[in-house]
This record gives sequence, structure tokens and C-alpha cells, in this order.
Amino acid sequence: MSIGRVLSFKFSVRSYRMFLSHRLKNFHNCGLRTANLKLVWLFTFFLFLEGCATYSQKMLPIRDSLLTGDVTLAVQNFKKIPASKDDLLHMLQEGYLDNLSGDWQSSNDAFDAAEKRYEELYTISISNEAFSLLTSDNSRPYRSNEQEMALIPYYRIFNYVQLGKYPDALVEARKANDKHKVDLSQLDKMSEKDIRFKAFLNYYTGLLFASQGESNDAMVSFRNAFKLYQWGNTHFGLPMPRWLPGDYYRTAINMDLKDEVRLLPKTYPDIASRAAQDQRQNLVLFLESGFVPYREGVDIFLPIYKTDKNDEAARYYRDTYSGNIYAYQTKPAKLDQFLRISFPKIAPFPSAVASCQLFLPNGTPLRSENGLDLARVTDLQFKQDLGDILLRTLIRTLAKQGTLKSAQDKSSGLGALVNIFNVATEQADTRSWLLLPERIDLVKTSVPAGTNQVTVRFLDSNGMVVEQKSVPLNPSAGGLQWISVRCFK
Amino acid sequence: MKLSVQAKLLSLMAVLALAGAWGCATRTISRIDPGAQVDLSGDWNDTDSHLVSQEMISDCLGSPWLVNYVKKTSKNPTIIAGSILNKSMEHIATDVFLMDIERAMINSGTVEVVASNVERGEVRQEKADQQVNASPETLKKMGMEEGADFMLIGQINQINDSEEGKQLKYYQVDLTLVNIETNVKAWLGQKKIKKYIGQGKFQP
Repeated sequence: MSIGRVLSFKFSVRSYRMFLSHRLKNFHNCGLRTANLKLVWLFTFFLFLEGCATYSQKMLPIRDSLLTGDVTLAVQNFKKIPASKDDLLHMLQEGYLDNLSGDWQSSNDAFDAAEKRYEELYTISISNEAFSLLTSDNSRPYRSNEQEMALIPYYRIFNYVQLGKYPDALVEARKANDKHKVDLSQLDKMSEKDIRFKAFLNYYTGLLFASQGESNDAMVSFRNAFKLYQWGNTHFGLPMPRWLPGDYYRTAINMDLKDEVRLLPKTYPDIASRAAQDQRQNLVLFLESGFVPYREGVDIFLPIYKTDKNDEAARYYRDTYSGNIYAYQTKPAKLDQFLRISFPKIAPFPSAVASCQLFLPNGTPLRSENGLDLARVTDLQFKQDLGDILLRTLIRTLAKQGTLKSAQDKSSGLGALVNIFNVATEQADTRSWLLLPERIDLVKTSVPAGTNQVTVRFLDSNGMVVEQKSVPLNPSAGGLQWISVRCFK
Repeated sequence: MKLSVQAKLLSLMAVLALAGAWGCATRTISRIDPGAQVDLSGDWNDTDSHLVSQEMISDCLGSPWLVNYVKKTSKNPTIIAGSILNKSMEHIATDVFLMDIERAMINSGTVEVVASNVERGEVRQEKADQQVNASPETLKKMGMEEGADFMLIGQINQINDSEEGKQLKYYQVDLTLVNIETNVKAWLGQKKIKKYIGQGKFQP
């Protein structure tokens, strides 16, 4: 068999059905009954195939429920999605939804299981990898990545703070710093993605350590955060939260670190007064909005025709139509196989929110600062993964072609069967922790004792209010209040 | 016997499907000796808690401070287990560790251990209730509690090091026995645990 002509198309299953319908309309005209019987068979099969939704498609009802602010419905919809007990991604989504529902302990349990599973998945199963070469990347376990795993301590700290378990929150902070280590002498070797999420994570843990009187740990975290934001600002415009230099300076004074106390005022002349002023801050709000970009499947279908000789099409045209181009109807080629190649692409889920404001009870507005641009981090992570994804796609395509060729050599029936198996199992791996927010802003301030409520406004790029939320405070809380507010819009 | 291509393909698919299912074998549960040393994740576990408490209390009660105290007061000292600060990177149940310490001390027979702060609250509540509801013969008097002579406090620290599937966990447990009246530190104990956790990159 030689492949005389390959028609390549890049379109969805829906448009593929349209293409097949068109071919079937011309069924009698072209007189290629045998070839098109195969098409009819495959057409039926593709109708079935369309029902196989990708992961990101399955998660749509959950995201839609969250968009309407209905967390309970989102949880109900999530429970309908079948998942194996050792599915890391399921644990991550579950932990996050439990956090949103205020089920702090369940959230921590799910995240704890996710961390353990992540470590187990360091070991790669060769049989799984081999199986994925004959099916798709979806048959490999979801392994997550460092930036997703860095958000586990972020949420677990919130959970423990809500449970009043500050020593456990500190354990999470120490764990986060240990797992996502920063070597300040190697900043030039760090990727933009790592700089971004590690800068935020260190500032976050630094604030917690400082609030619990752990000056030594706070100092390390603030120093790391400061240097990372500073580097990021110089190299790719990463904004540094305006309170960080003061927090760093104040902790350096407490630790009597003379070099840092001497150097910081050279860059920030008013740092001493700012640090003293910020010392009274007893409220820190983390404002989460939007959804991270998600992975969408790209399907490439290639119907490949077979001819006995390479010039068969031209000869058929000459013999049948005698060179009359207007009489030409279709090409008399037999379908050899369908080739389906699927891989993911990143799709943004744009949020209306561009900034946030906090309103104190006396009406004073306070601008928030962007702590973490998760959309950018996710985008960078995908770019980092893409090389591996495409390489695996190529190897898989070759492996599937190998099995198909062996089967076709034996019999056409077996070849068709293997072709169906290959096409049916090929599906883009669109799995990701897609419920995460697009961005995390933060605002730090001091509220007078007895304050029981503040207002948060999520604003669009024109300063119009996208969503306004009243945030209840504990008026009798003595220490730092640590609150997360979520806007799904 | 020569297998057909069809048979070979079906066999390959079956083998791969079985291999895929291998990783998700059904869960098995069996009862084991509570004293058995089982390490699964490499994290701090019940064995660490038990071994550390046993060894440290044995060291504590074998130290000169106890002999000196008994010689000086002619009675066994009374100890209260204070708090153990968890400054590690793991969620260690310090209550379990404290109970292990208390058990090791009581079972030694050389010291007396009084109820902790939380336990005392419950006991006092019961005693207050007795003042109203118990018969005079069985009533327990208020203000007859035994004050502790020493308090045992401590902390657990951890240092981790890891690279490419290899992990080293180092735990250091420090316990201090403080004379409540004088604030003098009567005994300082330290126990270190070092664990190496190796994880292969590949499995069949």
C-alpha cells in the first residue's frame, strides 16, 4: 500500500461530522460504495466519540456554578464527576471546594492526601507510560506541578487559621519554605514563573511568622520575598507589595541585623517611619478573583487515503472525464485510515477584575496590591510543559501508526478495529487545577478595636465595581486577622 | 505455536490494561502488633514518639538530679508535663508524645506526675460538683491538690534535605526539666532521629 494523497484538516469533531455528511450526500454520485461504507461506520463511531468530554469540559458545570456564586451547587456537581481515589487532581479540586465551603478540616484532609499522593507520583510507572503511548496522556496519573503544589500551604494556612490552630499554620509555612526553597545566589538561574510564585509564597509565610512572633523565620521569608520581588521588578516588571520593605526592615531591626538596617533606607528613605506605622497593622486580606487559564483540547483529524499508484488520481481524472474539469465530481480514493492527533492548548478565562479596594468603616479607601498573577504563572507553566507534551504526542502517534500498520498487514478488518481504537483513545490531556483564581491581591491595614466589618470592592479596569463584599471581622481579636475573600467574576 | 498479529495485539492490550490496573489494586487491611515498627512515608510516627519518650525519660530519671532531690527532700519529686512546641515541618501530634512521656515517667515508679492544665480543669469541675451532690463520706476536699515540683517542657525541630528522590529528615527533640520554685534547669535532654528516605524513579 502506498499513501498517494493525504488530506489534512484541523477542526473539531462537530465540523468533522459535517464533512462526513457532505461525503455521504455524494455517496451515489461518486460510486465509491466500498470506501464510503467504511465512512458510514466511522461516522456512527464519531457520533459516539463526541460524547467523550475532556476534563476541562467536565469541570464546566462546576465553574459555572461558582460564577453564579453558588458554592453548594458547585460541590454537588463536583461530586457527580467520577474519579479514582488516588487521583491527585480530584484531591486538589476537592480541597479547594471544601475551603470555599468553609469546611476547613475536610479541606486540610484532602490537601494532605494530595501532598502525599504528589510524593508517591515521583515514581513513574513504566506500564502506565507504555499504556499512554497506545491511548493518550489521560491514562497517565495527574502529576501536578510545583506552582500548583505551592498553593496547598497557602490554602492550608487559611484553614488552620480559621480552625484557630496557629501552630499547625506555622508548620505549613515552614513546610512551604522548605519545599519551595530559594537560593538568593542563583536568582539569575530562576525562571520568571518560579520568581513570581516564590516571591508571593515567601511574603505570605513571612507575614504569618511575623504575626506569631517567629522573627527568625519571618526574617528569612521577608528577605527572600524582597529580593525576589526586586529581581522580578527589574527584569519583568513584577510589582512589589508596598508594605514588604517596611515589614522586612522592621524584622531586621528586631533581629538586630545591622547591614540590612543600614542598606534599606538608601533605597527607601522613609522606610523607618513606614515600618513604625505598619507595625500597628492587624488586618491582612487576600483578595482572589477570576479563574486561571485552563487547558483546551485541539484535535487534528487526518483522513488518509490509499491508492495503488501515486499517479492514480491523475489517470482516473484523464480516463473518466477526458480532461473536462467541469465534469469532475470527486476523487476515487479509498480511505486507508483516520489519524487523530490531540494535544492541549492554554485558553484564558478573562476576569473583569483589574484591581481591588478596601473600605474601612470610616469610609477610608485603601488600594490593594497584586501579590500573585496566577494567570501569568499558569501560562508560563504551560509553555514549560509544552515541549514534553508535543514530544509525547509525536511518540504516541508513531506508536499508534506502528500498531495500525501491523494490524493492516494482517487483515483490513483488524486494521479498521485498531484504527477505531487509536482514534477513540486519542484525547488531549486538559487536566489542570482550573478552579484556582486568576490573581491574588492583598491589602494590609490597621482597624480600630471593635471593628466588626469592612467592605471590599473588586473593580474593573475602568474603576467600575464588579462585585462588592462585606467582610465580617472579629471585633475582639487581639492579634492579626487573616482573611481570604473570593470573587469569581 | 505462532501467534497471529491479532492475538499479539489483543495480548498486548490485555497486558497493558492489567498493568494499568496493577497500580490500583484493592485495599487490604490487617491487624498488626501496636509495637511493630512500620515506616510508610518517613514522617514522624508513633514509633518515633514511643522510642524518643522512652529513651529520654530513661535518661532523665537516670540523671543525678533525681538522686540529689530525693536525698534533699526524702520524697519522690512531682512532675507536670508542660507543652512540647512543634517547630518541625510536619503536623506532629504533640499530645501523643506528651502522653508517652507521662506514661514512661509514671511507669518508672520514681516520680509522681500530676494532671495537666486541661485535665485539672475537668477534675476541679468534678470536685466542685461533689461539694453539692456527693455524700460527706465520699466528698473530696478542695485545696488538697499536690503542687508539682518540676515542669517538663520541650520542642521538636526538624531539618530536611532532599534531592532527586532522596530525602534526609533530621528531628531533634529537646526536653528541659525546670524547677518550678527556683526556675533552675535540673535536666536537659536531647534525642536525635535521622531518617533516609529513598524513592525510585521508576517502577514496572
